[in-house]
Amino acid sequence: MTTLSPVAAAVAELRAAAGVSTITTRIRAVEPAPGDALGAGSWVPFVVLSQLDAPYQAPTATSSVTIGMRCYAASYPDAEELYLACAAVFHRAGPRIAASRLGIYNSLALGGGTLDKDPDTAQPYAYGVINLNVSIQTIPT
Amino acid sequence: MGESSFYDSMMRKGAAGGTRGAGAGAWDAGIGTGPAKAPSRKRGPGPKGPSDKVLGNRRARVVFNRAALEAAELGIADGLYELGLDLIADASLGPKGGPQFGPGSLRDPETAEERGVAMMLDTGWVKVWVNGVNVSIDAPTEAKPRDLALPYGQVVMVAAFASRLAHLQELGTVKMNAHPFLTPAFNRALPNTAEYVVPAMGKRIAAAPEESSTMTGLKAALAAELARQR
Repeated sequence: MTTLSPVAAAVAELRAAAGVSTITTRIRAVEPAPGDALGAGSWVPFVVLSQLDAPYQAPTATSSVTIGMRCYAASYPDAEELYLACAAVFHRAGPRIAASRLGIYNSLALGGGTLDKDPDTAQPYAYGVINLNVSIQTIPT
Repeated sequence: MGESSFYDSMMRKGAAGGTRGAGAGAWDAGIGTGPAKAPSRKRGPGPKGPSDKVLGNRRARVVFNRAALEAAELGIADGLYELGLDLIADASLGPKGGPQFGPGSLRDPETAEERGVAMMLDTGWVKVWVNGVNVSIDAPTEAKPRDLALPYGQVVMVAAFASRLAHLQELGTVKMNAHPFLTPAFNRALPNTAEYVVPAMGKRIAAAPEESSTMTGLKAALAAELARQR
């Protein structure tokens, strides 16, 4: 990922959020890290963000980035709690500048919170979609 | 004496006016309608009251042209249905560079027949609701998604894949990265909504009966919008 990656910025925001970091610090981009996805009885909470689409909005030099968010936990209530904590970080969070100088004009939790279990490890998780309206250039200091 | 004496006196006033007959009520009498106490009318708008024209409009009968609204709503539904079909067709091509999608991939009728289950990309469906009623031309058997609200006064279109694997491909699993195919198709389709909806509305409204100036106005507005799109 480049320094201006919206997914990297979203991961950094989740790691910095107190509501999420009290539950887990395992926030990943694209795929889980070794030690995240474990078998039954050893499940640990973690979050995976993956970019679904990022069409450019040429007239405004911005990009509307859709990100899929999967929040894994040891039980369905825990997964839902983790999802809600993550969604709250993004929902109508307003304009801000990420540490990478990526401009985030607005972000929304578009929907989700749907509960399911992973087909490989059977770990419960809640998934949803967030949208970030971001700059395509670095915001100067 | 209270209210009854006030009411009686007002009724007597109304009877003296004599314009509304036996059904005249207190308010009719109170605002002084009828020849006995005709209101003074001004020729133009002034600081003390509305003009003749405004008073005339106040008495005009407003006809709610339900046919025009239904034609407009069904036109939107037709356009959204066509948009949904194209969206599903686009999404069915699969993600760019996906491992098992696209022409020459595992998606073929023979494999589907062997498995006895339709291939994921062949399970796309579209449904449209107007005011909570399904109006899809060839309504699929898929039920309404549980969390979907269908409020009155809105046209709602759902384009989805019925396969239980679709969201796993779209979002990924712990052992497989995301292969989004529906979100990009949605983002490509969304900017073209007007190109689908406006002509479909034009067809429905052109077929609707000319009942009022509302319909004439709608037709003119749509013709202008179509001309602008061309």
